[in-house]
Amino acid sequence: VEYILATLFSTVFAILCNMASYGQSAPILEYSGEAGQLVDDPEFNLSVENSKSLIKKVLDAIPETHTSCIHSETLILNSSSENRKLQYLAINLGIPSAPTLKALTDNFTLETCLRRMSEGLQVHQDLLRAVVQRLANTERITALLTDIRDLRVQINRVRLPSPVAVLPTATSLASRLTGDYEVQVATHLTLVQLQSFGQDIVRSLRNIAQANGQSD
Amino acid sequence: MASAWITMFATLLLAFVNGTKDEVHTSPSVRVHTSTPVVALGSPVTASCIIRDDCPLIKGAVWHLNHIVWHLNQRLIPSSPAAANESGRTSAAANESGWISTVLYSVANQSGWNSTVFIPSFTDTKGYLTCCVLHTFPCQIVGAVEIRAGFPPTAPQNLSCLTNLTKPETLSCQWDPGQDTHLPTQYTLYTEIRDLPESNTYVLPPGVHHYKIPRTGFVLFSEIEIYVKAVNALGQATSTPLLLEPMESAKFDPPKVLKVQAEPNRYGCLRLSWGLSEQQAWVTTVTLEVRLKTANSKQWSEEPVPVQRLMRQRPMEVCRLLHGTEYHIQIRVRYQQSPWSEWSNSNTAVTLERAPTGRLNSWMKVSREQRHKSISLHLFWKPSKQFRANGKILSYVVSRQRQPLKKGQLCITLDSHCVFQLPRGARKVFLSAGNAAGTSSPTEVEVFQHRALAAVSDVNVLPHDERSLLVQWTSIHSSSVTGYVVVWRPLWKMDPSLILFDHIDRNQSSTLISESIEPYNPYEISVYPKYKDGIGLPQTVEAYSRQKAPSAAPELRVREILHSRIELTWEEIPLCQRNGIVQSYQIFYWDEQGNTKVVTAELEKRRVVLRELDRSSSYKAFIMVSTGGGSLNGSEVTLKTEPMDDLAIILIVISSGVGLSLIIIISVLVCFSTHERLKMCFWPKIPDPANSSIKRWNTLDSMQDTPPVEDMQESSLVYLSNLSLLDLPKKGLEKRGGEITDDPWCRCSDTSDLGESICGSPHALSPSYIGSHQHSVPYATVVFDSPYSIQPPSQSHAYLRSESTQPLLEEDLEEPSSPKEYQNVPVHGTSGEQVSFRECLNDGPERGELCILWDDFPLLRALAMNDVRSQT
Repeated sequence: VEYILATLFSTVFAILCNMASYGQSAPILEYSGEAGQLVDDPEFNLSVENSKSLIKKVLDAIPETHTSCIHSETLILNSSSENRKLQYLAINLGIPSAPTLKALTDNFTLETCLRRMSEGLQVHQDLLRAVVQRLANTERITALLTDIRDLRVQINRVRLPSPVAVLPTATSLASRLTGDYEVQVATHLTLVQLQSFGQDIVRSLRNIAQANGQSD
Repeated sequence: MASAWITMFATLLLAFVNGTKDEVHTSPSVRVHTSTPVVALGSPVTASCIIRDDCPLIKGAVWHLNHIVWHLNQRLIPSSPAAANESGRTSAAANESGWISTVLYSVANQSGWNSTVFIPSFTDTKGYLTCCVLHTFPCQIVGAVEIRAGFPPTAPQNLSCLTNLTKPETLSCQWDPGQDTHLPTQYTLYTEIRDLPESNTYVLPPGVHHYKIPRTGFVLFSEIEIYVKAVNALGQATSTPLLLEPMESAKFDPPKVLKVQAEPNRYGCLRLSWGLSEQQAWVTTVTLEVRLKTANSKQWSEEPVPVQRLMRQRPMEVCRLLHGTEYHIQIRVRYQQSPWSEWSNSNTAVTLERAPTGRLNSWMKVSREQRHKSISLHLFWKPSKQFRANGKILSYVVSRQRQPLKKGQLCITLDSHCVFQLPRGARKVFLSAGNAAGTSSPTEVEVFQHRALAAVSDVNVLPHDERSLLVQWTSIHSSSVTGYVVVWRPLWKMDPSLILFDHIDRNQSSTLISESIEPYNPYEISVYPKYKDGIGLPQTVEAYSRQKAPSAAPELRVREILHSRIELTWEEIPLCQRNGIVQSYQIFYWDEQGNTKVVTAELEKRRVVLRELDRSSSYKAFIMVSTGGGSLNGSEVTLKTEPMDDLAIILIVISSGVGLSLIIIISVLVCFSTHERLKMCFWPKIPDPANSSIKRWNTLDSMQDTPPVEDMQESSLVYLSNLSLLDLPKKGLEKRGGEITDDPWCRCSDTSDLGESICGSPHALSPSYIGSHQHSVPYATVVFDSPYSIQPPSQSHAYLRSESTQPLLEEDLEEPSSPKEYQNVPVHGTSGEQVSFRECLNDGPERGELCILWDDFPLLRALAMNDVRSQT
């Protein structure tokens, strides 16, 4: 009986050890939980830094992408008054709003934040993919899409692999791009919204880094 | 051999079975094919040529097995080796190049000839096997097949990729294909991105060994696996997979140093603003490295200052720098372990100044004692190893007090030396350096009075390398010796600021000096022993760190030349051209036959005597001056010995002197004895006709009043005496009844100027004429008749030939006022008036012209008369 018990204990111990080692290889587990209680994992910090670099790259690329794609003089990137006039068309074209990002709290955990970042990026990725098929000059917008893809890869590396909610927007947008003006407006609104959402991501990443004890 | 035959038959069988493979249809009745179009190099190759009976080339002809031949790249392949085997040996050539087997075949309702060629080892990388039918000469090619040989590909080596972050961003990969396969080899690049379920394949054209993966083909900050596969007809090979993160393979553009400055109260630190290039500014975290260079340094710091922490393009601070020092700063960046970027532009800043720290080493020389109460000191100093200027030194102060107050200051200078006076009793002075931030703590310098203490011995200076000298000496075994001072200075410059020194520990007996040492220049090195109570006497040597041949050779000068010896001398070479210590002067000289001799001169004398030379011979010579580093030949000079010896010269000189003195004595005696004759010879008296005893001048009184003639030409008077109108044949005058007619004298005057009359010249006279009047002076007697008869008797002149032989030149003839004949004599009171020769008319004086009597000029008168006659 003692022998059986010893064997059982050793087996259970080995299983526990294995589980622990798997857990280490999957650092995502450590980041879930409350803000400010994150483990100071260099790989996590590196991913956050890389994400910061990439969102800066995206934000830097938006103005020149806008210039290369938008030819209408009324569609100005940083003019909120003009953009307010396009709210009806935005609804009409079915462009969804970006997810809201907030500072990390008990109710808005790191996991939630990262998931929303990923979702929001995918929304804009799909919107841009829809419009890129209708644009003549696609070089810059393709590069922007690639940068958004790389940023999503970074964010997905540090978040739980939960499925992203599929938002049925991209396909519906493609069907509503009836004319060239609609394409221009849709591209413009996507870029404007992406710019705003990108700035939210910058703030959130800074918040995550601070919560994780990094000095910025 | 048997195995070769088995192989051949097996191949033949295979050729029949797979006969349709890779066949080349040259004509319906001929078919050439091979089962091995691509083989490994050195492998066997088989090809068949099937010729049907209905082929026009063999139709109806008498056919023979040997009528089908094969060529490989125009080389004939021998026919069946059976013939060779028959003689019991196998042809080596056949083994190498193959052989042919031709058989008659008959399949179904077709028949013909099947010729098969077998090459046991195909060594060409590419070749054409041609089938040729010997119907006529030359044989007719009926078909061919291409064979290629090579190797299967080796795995691509050294696969490496570099990310280009400049738009359009790419990931450039390249690899080494390895051994040449000699066959078309296809390379394919495979990529697999770790964080995406995505893999890509990039097929490359043959022969291309690099590829740029587009931006969509890789994910930044995410690992990607890359490998290359090489495929050709003989096989395939895959490279070792390369796992990389594109950002870690990125070489950044050189960053920019935007600004460098010293922050207030941040001593030894500089604040650095920097940035990445515009297209790479999005990368927030990079690793940085800083390198520095002080303004007066040529080299950058060997080990750059690493900034391990990931920087965010924010200003950073570089510390642990020297105070008050100008630094040039450059940076470079990389992402984690990626290749370093090139160094950035350079930016310059000066750290904050602080007061100098550390000691100054000094060397004092009591140069001379002035008066009895004070001494003159020359103090030299230099910074010690611990000394830090901490800024720009503005002055060095030598003071009698420890605190450099103005009162006790002996000198303030920016140089590294100064001269000052001290009272004899003074024991120490204080030396300090000052910059804008403050003054260093003073260094105490002890003043040693001049004392004759023992010197070191055996000072020896050896060149160490081009810019350093090794100074050695025998140390003094005395407890009172506290150390040594080695002082050196360049010999070709007298600037005291160039005097350098070094303090050496008492245990040492050698040191290496390298400061300001230049090759080929002389230095004076002195070693002083330091005692507890003074400085010993110096030992001084001259040395060069490197020697070479002098830049200029001395010029040979002849000092003395004699019949068999020549003494030569020369000047010393200037110090700046010597380039080393002169070891010898050698004179090379040779005669016209080329017999060369060499004489070595003594160094100090700079003089040499060439002896045993031939008399009256020509020699050539040049000087060769040698230093420790080489020799230089001077220019060639030509020398010539004297023809006589000393005795002959002395005899000649003595005899010449005696002869000369005899001549002088005789001459003097002669002069005294014949004084009067000589006087007449050299200072002849001018004859004055007016005072001669035979003169008959009617106008004597008036002529005596005339002023003396300025330009006396005595000779004309003498000659005129000889020249005689009166030598004309008397009969000429008589025949014309006393009237003067044409005569030689007047005819001459017609054609020539009177003043230059050749008739008046003694040279125009015939020698016989002159000879006939050698002992008598002819006197002219001119008899005028009719034209002059109308003139008053007082003015009429009658010249009669005189037979007198009395010399005209009498002492009393010298009349300074006597005019010359035929000369326009200025009459008193007529100067400035126009003088003309004409007869006196009554209205003459009224016109202000001087009337001069024709009678004063008998020759002119004769000419005038001649003119009158010719006119009438």
